Amino acid sequence: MFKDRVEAIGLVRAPTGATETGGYHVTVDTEKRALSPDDLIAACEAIRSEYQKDYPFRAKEILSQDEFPRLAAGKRRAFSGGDINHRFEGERYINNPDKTTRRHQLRKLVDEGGETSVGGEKVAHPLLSRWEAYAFGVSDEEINELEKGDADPQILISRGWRVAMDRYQHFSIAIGSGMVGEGGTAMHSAELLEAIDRDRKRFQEWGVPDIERALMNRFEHAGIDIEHADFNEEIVRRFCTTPELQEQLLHVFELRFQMGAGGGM
Amino acid sequence: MSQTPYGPEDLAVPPLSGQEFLSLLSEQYEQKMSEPPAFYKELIAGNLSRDALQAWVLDQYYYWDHLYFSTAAIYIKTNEHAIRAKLLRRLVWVEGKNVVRDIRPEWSTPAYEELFARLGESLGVTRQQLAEWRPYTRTFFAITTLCMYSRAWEWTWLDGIANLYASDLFYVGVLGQVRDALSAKYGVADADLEFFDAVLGDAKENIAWEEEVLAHWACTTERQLLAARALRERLDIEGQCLVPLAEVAAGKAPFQAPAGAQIPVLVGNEITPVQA
Repeated sequence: MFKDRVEAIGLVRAPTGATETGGYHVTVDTEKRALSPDDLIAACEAIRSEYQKDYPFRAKEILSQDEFPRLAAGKRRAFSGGDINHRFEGERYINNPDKTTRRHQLRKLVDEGGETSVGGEKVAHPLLSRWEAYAFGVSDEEINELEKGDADPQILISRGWRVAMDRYQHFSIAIGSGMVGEGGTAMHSAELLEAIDRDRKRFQEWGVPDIERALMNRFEHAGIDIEHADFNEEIVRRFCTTPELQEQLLHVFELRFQMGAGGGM
Repeated sequence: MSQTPYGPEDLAVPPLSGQEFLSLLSEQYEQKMSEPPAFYKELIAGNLSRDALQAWVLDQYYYWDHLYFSTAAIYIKTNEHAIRAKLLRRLVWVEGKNVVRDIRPEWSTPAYEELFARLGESLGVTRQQLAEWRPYTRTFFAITTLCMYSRAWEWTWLDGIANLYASDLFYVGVLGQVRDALSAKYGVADADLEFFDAVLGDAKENIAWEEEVLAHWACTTERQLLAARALRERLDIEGQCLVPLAEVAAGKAPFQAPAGAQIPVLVGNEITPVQA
């Protein structure tokens, strides 16, 4: 049981009963000392292990062109209401009072917002997402309209929570929440890159135009997320240092999994 | 601040063309800044004591050290992709071009606050003095207002661009004269004036794209009314930061914020050392 696992760490206790969603409510006993950085990371990873029992990690791979309409629909949904990358990454940046790591987060903003902004070559991640969508048959004009339009209701509330969390939580929690997505990508980087290679071959067979651009979004994340994941963990180790912050981090860690579980809440 | 909303009669007036709107902003800048603020007039005339110059460095450092916040707040609000890239570039300039030296090895310029601290050292201000400085209360209020207006709902993203435009017009219009005066009348070496070269060069580049954005996107009467107000508000904020320094130059001792006072929008992100 997850509950037993986190209690076994010796520093986290779970209240009686499960939440209405069936998840476990994890809390840090504030009468106890803060977790050590290693124990805190272990507690986060215990949450990941528990969620992955029901929602195991699978590297994205496209086995048939018949999947394109479904993938296009997913992309349209993701574009609805506009891109939020700059919002959540920006919120994480602006709240950090530590000059050195704040500027490290700014460097990450440049990764995400495009090295082209400072005269480099790599484009912004929202543009990578567009390139990926073109391969599935979504047009630029369609994306432009989707970005001005209403968000899909589920996207509205899940991104609403995400941006609020990044804005109002302590910066160590907001940045630490990146351990869920980027941390997961970093763990499975090799697997993801292999799947991209297989898709590249299939795309060639299917005559998909601009294959490198179509795969660049996944390729970039499979690589760069490793460095980002290390940074996220460093911030947690250095700045998520009180029982109260650690309790909040564990809550956020769990909510981020619930947001993405089973194809995306 | 808490203005009542514009009504149908205000908004029935058709919007100005892009160029007309820029001309209006230029007129409003001139109305607010027909001459430099009192402290800078004295500085430019060569009338200030060493003590007054040191007080300027100490108090204005607080401004430059917090500039990242109001700049980033507008970045976060801006959903238009091409404009956001310009804002990201601007943020890198504020925080130091050297942040992206792996992409641009020739970019070695540090943060504005660091360059300003170096200027301060040439005028006899130590790093410890900068770290321990309690800003003048009026400056503290002004920067708090700038941070809140940028961060929260008071300014839209386009108002935010107008506010940045105002700051760039102010830097180019006034700081260039300050630089020349420090060199010619106070004997500051050119090598110690790098701060001005960086800020003025960047501001000129910013003004070009900010004018394009304002001419294109301030395309309704309401957007124009609000953006023009944001421009005037930023100029007032800039001016208010210099009022206590004029008092210092006149031999007075303005109020200072209590030691450790925090800008309210920054509260909640304290750093607690790891327990042993």
